[in-house]
This record gives sequence, C-alpha cells and structure tokens, in this order.
Amino acid sequence: MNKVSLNSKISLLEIILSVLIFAAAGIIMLNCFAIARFTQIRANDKAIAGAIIQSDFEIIKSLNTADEMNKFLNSYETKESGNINTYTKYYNENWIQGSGKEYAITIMIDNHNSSSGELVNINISAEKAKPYPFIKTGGQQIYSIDSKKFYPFFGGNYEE
Amino acid sequence: MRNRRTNVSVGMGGTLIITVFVVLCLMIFASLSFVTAYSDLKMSKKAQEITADYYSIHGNAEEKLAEISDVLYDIDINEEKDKVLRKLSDIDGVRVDEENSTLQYEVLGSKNQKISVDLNILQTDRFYYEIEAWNLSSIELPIYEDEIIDIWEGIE
Repeated sequence: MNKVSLNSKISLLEIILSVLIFAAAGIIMLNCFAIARFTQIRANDKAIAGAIIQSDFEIIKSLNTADEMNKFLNSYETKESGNINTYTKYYNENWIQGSGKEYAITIMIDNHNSSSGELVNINISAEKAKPYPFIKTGGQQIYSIDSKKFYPFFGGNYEE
Repeated sequence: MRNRRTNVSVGMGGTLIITVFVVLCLMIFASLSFVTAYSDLKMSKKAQEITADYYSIHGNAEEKLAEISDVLYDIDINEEKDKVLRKLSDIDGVRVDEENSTLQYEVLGSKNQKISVDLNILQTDRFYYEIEAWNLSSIELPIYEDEIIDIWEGIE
C-alpha cells in the first residue's frame, strides 16, 4: 500500500500567510462573483421585461377602438381608476405570471378626447419588488416606455 | 504486500506559490464573469434605449395623426378639396400632394430612426383619412466604402 507523507518543510508562518492571502482575496472574489451574478440577473430581467412590454404595446397598437383596448387591459390583475387608469400584472422570480409578486408590469392610461377621436397616452413600466443585492445603481425600475395611440371615431384604417 | 513510502515535498514557499496561483485563477474567473454580465447589461440597456425611442416617435406620429384627423373633422363637407388640402398643409411638418390628395409627414427619433407616414384623404359624407403607408426606417444609412482588391491581374 502506498503511503504519502508531506515533509514538514512548510512552516507555520507560510500556512498562516497563505490562509490570510486566500481570505483577503476570497472576500474580493466572492463580492465580484455576487456582483456578476446579480448584474446578469438584471440584464436578463431587462430583456424579459422588454419582451413582455413590447408584446403588450403591439397588442394595444393593433386594436381599433379605445373600448377594445380597455377590454384587453381588463385581463390585467389589478386596476386603479382615476384621471389616469393604472393596470398591473404580477410575475414571480422566474417571470411566470400569477404565482408571485416579485415583478410588476404596470400600464398607465391617460385618455384625451378630441373632436375626431381619442388620443391615449400610454406608459408601460416594469418594476422589481426588492432592489438587487450587491448592486447600488439602477433602482427598482427595470424598463419604462412612453407612447401614444390615436383611436379615430371615423376612418383611420389601413389601405386595403 | 510491500509498503512503499512516497515523499512529496512542495518545499519552502511552495504553499504560498500554490495559493497565489489558485487566487489568481479565481480572480480571473470572477472578473471574466463580471465582464460578461456587464456587457449583457450594456446590450440590454442599448436595446431599451432604441425601443423607447421607437415608441416615442410612434407616439409623436400618432399625435400628428390626431391633429390631422381633428382638422379633417372640423372641415365642412361642401368645402372644395383644394381648400381642404391647403388647410392641411398649414399643419407643421405635413406635406400635401394636391394631385393625388395625399399627405406625408415624418417623425424623427434620436437613435437614427424615423417613421414616415403616407395618408390618403377620402370623402364620403365627411372628410377622413386612410393610412397608405406607415414605415420605420433609418435617418441615415451607413456608408460602406468599396474596397477593391486585385486578386488576379490576368495574363497577357
């Protein structure tokens, strides 16, 4: 049977020094790994939130009347009425809708009636419930888009 | 079975060298993962800026459409078409093609993108518009310089 033994040429001082170097570097490295992880999560969140927001925006753009838009927005989980109507839907940490409140997608609708139609100011934003750990910048808002949509009472169709 | 002893010695300072090597490797991995994550974040931010700019100019184009629609709505049906088109040409940024009864306008974004809108002006019991084209395009296309490389000069 082979036996492996180390010579006691390693001094105690050397071991202590190694442990100290490893500990000091470990603190920096773990911090760096943690920042990298949460930066990656933040980047992924931005991409996913962008995809969801754009999808909802394209649906709103494709609708023909403000009533159709309101019908679509009623599929959101919560609604706050006022001068500006606010609709919110929630996602869990894996961006699955309805099973958690880690992320919120909020649509703010501001209707302006004109003589020939309805001009709707739309703001869609995505927010995270808790801030990202280890990252000081960025805040809790992930994504935000402002736009407008005009629903005419008469005409306004695309040429066939 | 005969017992064999193998002596492995890292010598004086060997532990320190191994520790420094391991720490250096881990440092490189940590910084590489951070650089990768940060470049992903930068790309996501860039995509967000371009998307936000697109929806912003889309909103401005819709606002202009509302303005045109309001002008058309307020026009009396018995009014002459030339007069109607002249009224429409008073709207800032709108070009009128009187021959074809069409309107054109453009909305420029800050990220080298613009929306060009073409409208047909129609008339039944009132004046109204129909969207002929709603195009997103670049404001300036990149210029690619031709680089001609002589591969073969031929034989005489």
